Amino acid sequence: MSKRDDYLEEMLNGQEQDVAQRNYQLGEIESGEESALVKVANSIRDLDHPELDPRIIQSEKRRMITAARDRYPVRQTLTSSLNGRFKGQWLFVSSIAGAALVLMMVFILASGVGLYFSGPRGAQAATLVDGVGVLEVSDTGLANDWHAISSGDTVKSGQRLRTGADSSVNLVFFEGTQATLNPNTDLVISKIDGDWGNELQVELIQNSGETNHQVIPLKGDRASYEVYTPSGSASVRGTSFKVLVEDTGLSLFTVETGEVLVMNDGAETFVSAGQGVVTELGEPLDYPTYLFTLQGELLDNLGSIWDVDGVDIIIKDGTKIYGDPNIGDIVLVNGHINKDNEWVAHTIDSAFADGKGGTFTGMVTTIGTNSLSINGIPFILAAGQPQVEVGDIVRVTFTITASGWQVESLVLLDDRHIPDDGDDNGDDDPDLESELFFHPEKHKIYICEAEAELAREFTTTLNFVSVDDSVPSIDVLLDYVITEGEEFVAEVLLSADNVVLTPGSLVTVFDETPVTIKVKITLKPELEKLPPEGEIKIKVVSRDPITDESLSNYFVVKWECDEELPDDDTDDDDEKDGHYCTTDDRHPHALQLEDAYSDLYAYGATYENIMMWFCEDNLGFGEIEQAFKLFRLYKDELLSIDPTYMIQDIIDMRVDDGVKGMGWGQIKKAVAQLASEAMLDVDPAGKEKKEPPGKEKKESPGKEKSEEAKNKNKPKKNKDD
Amino acid sequence: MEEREYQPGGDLFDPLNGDLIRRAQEGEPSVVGELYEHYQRGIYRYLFYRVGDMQTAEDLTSEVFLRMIEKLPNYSGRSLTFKAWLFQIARNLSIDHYRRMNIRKDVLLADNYPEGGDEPLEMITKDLTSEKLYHALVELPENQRDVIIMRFVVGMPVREVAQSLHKSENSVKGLQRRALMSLRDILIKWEVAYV
Repeated sequence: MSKRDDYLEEMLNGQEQDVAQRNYQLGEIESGEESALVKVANSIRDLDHPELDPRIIQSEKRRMITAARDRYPVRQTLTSSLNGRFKGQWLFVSSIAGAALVLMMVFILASGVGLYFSGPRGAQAATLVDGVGVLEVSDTGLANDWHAISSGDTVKSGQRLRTGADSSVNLVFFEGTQATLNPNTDLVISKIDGDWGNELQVELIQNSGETNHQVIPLKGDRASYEVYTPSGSASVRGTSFKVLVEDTGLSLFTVETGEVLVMNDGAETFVSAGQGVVTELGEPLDYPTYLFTLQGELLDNLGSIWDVDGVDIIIKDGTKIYGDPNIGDIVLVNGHINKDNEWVAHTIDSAFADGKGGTFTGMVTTIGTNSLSINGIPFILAAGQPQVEVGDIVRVTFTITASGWQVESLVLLDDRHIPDDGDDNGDDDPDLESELFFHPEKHKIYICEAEAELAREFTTTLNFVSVDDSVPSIDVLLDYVITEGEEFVAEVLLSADNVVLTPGSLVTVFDETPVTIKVKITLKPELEKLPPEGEIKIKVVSRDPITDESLSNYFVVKWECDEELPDDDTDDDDEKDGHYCTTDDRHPHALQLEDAYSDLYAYGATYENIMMWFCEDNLGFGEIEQAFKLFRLYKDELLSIDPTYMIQDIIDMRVDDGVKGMGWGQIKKAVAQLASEAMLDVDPAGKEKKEPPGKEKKESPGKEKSEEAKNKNKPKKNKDD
Repeated sequence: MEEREYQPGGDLFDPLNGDLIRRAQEGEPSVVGELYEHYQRGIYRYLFYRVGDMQTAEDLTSEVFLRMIEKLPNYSGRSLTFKAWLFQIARNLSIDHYRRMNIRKDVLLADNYPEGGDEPLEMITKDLTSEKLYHALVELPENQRDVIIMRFVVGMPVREVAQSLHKSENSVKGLQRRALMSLRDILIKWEVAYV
């Protein structure tokens, strides 16, 4: 049977590698049983298997990043801070009273520290204000856990909030910043935190709908306010902006005042007041464009270009048209002005009020005595209106009159970011310079002493991006220096595109054509044993021989092996370990073991059992772990023989009533033999066994104890019991 | 024969490299995001075919990665690949899910089959679909079901399946053969075309 299993596996692998070969092979063995099985496998592979919605993937990705961010810093800072602060004091505590006093001091101090670090009151929550309609919250962030929430309630990190149709609510953070959720909005409160000095930290994930944000200028270096959508994110320091997320994941970030940094797939752009930017899944980040609002008479609505009071309005697939606007109606159009100066509509709706006019942001292109043009559009300018200059970015509000467009107000915007014109010729940034860089920049391999091999090889690329067409390449000298661990190194080999270099070789790097750099580090063979921990650090230097500018990249091999759990405890530890057997203090080794084998909890890998085997059976933690590993390896086979099989049954082979029995080599063989019998006894359809074998195992010495263990995972038995 | 990842891009996170995993262990949150993005598809599909419900699979997928973040500092990578480790978490959570829900196989079958009938309601069309595959997988013992999902839905090589299920590679190959035979018989019985 095993040969046929191997044969089938080879055929299945052949299928994976080459579809054409698959068909050929199928033809060759058309009549064989394997052929039919391969067809079954292929039909499964070719199925349209379910996938997560891309928007969920993006929002979950953000959630995981936040979870990781929340978890790791806490572990690093709090524990190290407390350890560092109080470690020395423990040495001087010699009496129980002293210990209690110190404990109390630690508690008070830690509470104080905790209170201080928890920030000001209410900083970890936002209050719901002016709620209207259906408002629901999910405590876990999971989709099947919604319940109603209303004004006055608070939400905190990890919760998810949604509004129904015709519903809205304001979230007010502790220092006054507000976020408004408009109808049909789904928002994950990924993080709300704050610190003294009104330092606000907010991270929101907007899955759908529309939100408006009025962010009070943030204070403190760690303050942040970020909104993530399925296709992009916005990061601000103090501004008013709006985020709209479409069903497709397309997101529109628009800025009312201030400035917003919008990011998408590693790219980023600043969006200024009056501008907006669209992000789409899988699409490069668009450049910011100026927004407009125009209310006027609909003169033509045929095709993809409508005429609103003489302005050509581009209708795109994503344009939302509300109602059924007819020629002659007064309509309200919201949209953006693209790089070709075309007016593209986002929404077209019936006008809410009389009058014709609008608002948009653009650059002053000409100035006359009583007129000016913005983005090339002429306006009538009344006396006493602000003085502006050609090139200024202004937001103009206007009315449409019989004489033309009349300026009502003109606002000079402070923060000016002229939109990128979308090409890559480098003329957008006069400070842009050619760049030479390594990618990736950091290289570190961790090894364990036992895994140490004589040679380790790193790969990186040296890249050159030129902004000057007359400089298509750059010549650099490549060299290396061993900055740490020279005593372990026999040889370092540098190569560029697989050509071995002598130190100081000249390498030519062409624009946007990376050179593959390999660094091979060979350890000295005479080193029989590396020290328990150590590090080799190689600095590779690229130097421009003309300008003498240099660039460094480090390659590190580091080893620091974790200690294996000892099989037997040393004498020094006996007294300490005995302490854990007679008190309720939890043994750290046992806790580690329970945690590492939590998947075997139901089979007896509990803290109580570990301590019982340790304290009563005198087994070392290493031995207990042996039993866990063995059980895990053959778990299914053992359970197929006897569904009540427990780790205790393996322990019983090792020790019976305190007397050591079989050695671990023998036990491994015995368990493997038992498991192989289980495999042989499975019928072809893979159904249940005809008769449970291995009964002789169940009659082994110590079985009484295993039966006891099965009752309730054996509660801890102290020696005093 | 050399084992190969079925899923495109799998080599990017080759645990032999280990750099990404190590960086995640060192507390680089963005790397955790990359790990999620890379592995979510396989984990979600595995869980879907284990529990048969998209919403539950979605929730459990989240739990797998939250558990990953929690347990990552303990992962040594010495005895099993990261992917195999991750699927162990997924498998344990799916088992816990059934324990919590107190669902047994016969209950599942009762839910998915029409009363008094031999075939699931979805068997009207004769082509294999993901729903039919799920129904067929419910018929298999748990080990065989895992092997089929991991091998042919997720695209894991035998070595990683063996690690995930704590089995030898030969054992997985044996389970694979028996599972495919059982599936073939079920599909023939249901008159479902599988080519």
